[in-house]
Amino acid sequence: MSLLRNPWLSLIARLVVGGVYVYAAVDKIIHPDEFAKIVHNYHILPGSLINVFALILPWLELICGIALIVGTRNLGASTILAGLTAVFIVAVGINMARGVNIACGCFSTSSQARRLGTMLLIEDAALLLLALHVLMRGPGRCALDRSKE
Amino acid sequence: MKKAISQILLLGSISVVLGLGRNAVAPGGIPWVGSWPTVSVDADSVVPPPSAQKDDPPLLTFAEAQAKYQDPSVIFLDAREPEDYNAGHIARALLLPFEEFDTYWPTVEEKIPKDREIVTYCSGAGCESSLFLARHLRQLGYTKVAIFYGGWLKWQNEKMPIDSVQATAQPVK
Repeated sequence: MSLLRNPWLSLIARLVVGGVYVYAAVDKIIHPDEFAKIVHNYHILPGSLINVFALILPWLELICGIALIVGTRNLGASTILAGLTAVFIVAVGINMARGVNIACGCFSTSSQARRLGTMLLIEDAALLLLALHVLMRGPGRCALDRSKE
Repeated sequence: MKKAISQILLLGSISVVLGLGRNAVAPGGIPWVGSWPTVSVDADSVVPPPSAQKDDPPLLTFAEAQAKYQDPSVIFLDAREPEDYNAGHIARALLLPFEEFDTYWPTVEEKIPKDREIVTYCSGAGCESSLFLARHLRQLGYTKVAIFYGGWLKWQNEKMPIDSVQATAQPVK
C-alpha cells in the first residue's frame, strides 16, 4: 500500500493522464467539423448539442491535461478528466453493444482511424484508474500548486 | 468540495471561452448548432454517412434492401472485418472487407459478373466501409451498386435471414 501513497507515482499518473488528453485534444481542435461527424456517429447526443460539444470538449481535454501536467488545479482537472473517461467508456460500450463499428475519434478525427473495441475499453479503464489516483492522492511531486489538496 | 467545484467551473469556463472563441475567429469554424438529423439507430430512414457525396452509389432503405434480397441474383457484399462476418452476416452475403480488399477480391471476383446488381453493407448507422466498398466497385466498372446503410444492425433487428461461419474463412492466397 505504501507504493500507492508514493508521491512519485502520483506524478507519473498525472503526467500520463495529462499527456494522453493533451495529445487527444490536438487533432480534434484542428478539425472541429470532422470531430463533430464522429460525435454524430455515436448516436448519443441530440443533433442540436453535437457541434457545441465538439467545439468545447477538445479544449476541456487540453486545458485539464495541461493543468495536470504542470500540477495546478489538480482537484478540478482530475475530476473532470476522470468524469470524461467514464463517459467515453459508457459511450463506447453502448455502441459496441449496438454492434456499430464506428471510428472512435479518440486521438484522430480520420474516419479510417481506430475503431471501437475491447482493447479500447481496457485502455480507457486504465486511464480512469490513473485519473482517480490523481484525484484521491493529490498531485504528488513537482506540482506547481505546492499546497496539499 | 467547494474547492473542487470552483476549479471545475474555472477550467470549464476557460474551455468554453477558448473553444467557442477560436471557432469564431479561426478558418474552418462550424455553426454552434449543426444540421444533424436526429435518428435512433433503429429508425428506417436512410441517413447518409458523414462522408457521403452527391454522386455516390444510391443508399437503400431497409424496405428497398429487403425487396432486392427477394431476388436471388442480387449479390450482397459484407464490407466488415472477417471476424464480424464470421460471427454473423446477412444470409448468402459474400465477405469482402473494404480494409482488406486486395486480399479478398480474388475470392469473390469470379462470382460477380460486371452487370450484376450488388448491395454493400457494413455494421449499421455510422459505418462507412459499405460506402467506400461501393465506390471502389464502381471504379472497377460495376454499374449497379447500391448501399444498404442500415447494415447488419438493422437486418438483425428486423429478424431477416442470417448466417454465421464456425471456422474462420481464409482468403485464397
